[in-house]
Amino acid sequence: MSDDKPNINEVLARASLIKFEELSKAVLDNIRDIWLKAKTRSGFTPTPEEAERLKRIAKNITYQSFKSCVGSTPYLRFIKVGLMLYELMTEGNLDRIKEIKDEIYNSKYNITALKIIHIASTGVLLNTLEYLINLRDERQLSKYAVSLEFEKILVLWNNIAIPVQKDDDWEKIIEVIKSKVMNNSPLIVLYASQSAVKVAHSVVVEVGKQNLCQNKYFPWSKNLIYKSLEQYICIFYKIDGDWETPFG
Amino acid sequence: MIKIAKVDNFSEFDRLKEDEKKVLLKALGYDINERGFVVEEHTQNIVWCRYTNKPVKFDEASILPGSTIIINTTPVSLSSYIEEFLEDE
Repeated sequence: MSDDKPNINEVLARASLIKFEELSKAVLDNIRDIWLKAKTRSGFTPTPEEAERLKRIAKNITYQSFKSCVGSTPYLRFIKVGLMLYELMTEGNLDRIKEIKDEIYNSKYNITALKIIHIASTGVLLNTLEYLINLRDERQLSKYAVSLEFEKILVLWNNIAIPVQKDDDWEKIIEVIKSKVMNNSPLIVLYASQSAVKVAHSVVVEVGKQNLCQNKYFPWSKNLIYKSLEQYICIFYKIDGDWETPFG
Repeated sequence: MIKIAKVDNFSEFDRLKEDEKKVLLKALGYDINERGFVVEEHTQNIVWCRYTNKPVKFDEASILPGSTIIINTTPVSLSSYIEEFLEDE
């Protein structure tokens, strides 16, 4: 059905030709009416490309599934921004990434927000969300428990994450994993991108061969291609994790 | 924060020329003060962004669909707006 109201852009364009001080109440009331009652609605922003990008990211299936797992939480907005930063990185838009990160760091958001932005910059944020969705399904976790698990990953990230580079010696990575198992790390997160993915795969195979998990950890892994970049994550999580069940 | 209904029939985000933005703000009951901040026309009170908790500057203002909501434009504030008004529950 066509909209019988005039297009807001056309009306504003015409009104802006009138001297600002001479705009009549009738003209302004008409504009307000069109704006508030239009059948299809636009939003005006100095950065429409970024707004559209964020809107598209909000439709990402993994993001939506995760949202349904945790419900409405204050950090969903940072997840979208983190994914946007990662997209900008794949496009080489480093200046804009710096501007956005500076704005976030200067805005005194809490540490959770900053950690999300950091993990997003590694490229494995979506994989991490998928892990949590899988964990929810496997263990029938409550929204609260999934939230707690996500927050645990954020808080512990620097201690549990093992980034793998393409020139890394896999035996050294195995030693790092052994030490984390020895120290009873609640999670061990191995991740890699592009040409380093093969190295990470080899490490995970070796972990299995050597039974490094000692029947204490389950591995969960995922290959993901996002914006044409391959990302891999393997999360070793405790078999006897103390998650809260829907009844817990 | 006032709870407002989700936006139906959203089409797109767009950019406005400065003159057009001034006209739309005026039509929605706002003015711009001498320091470049958006103010309520009747009270001349500065408008505060519901997401950044900072005064809304004219240059950085986003005017959001089908409402009189004005916010400062940052990726986080836009992301918050999209979550509150455009995403499915």
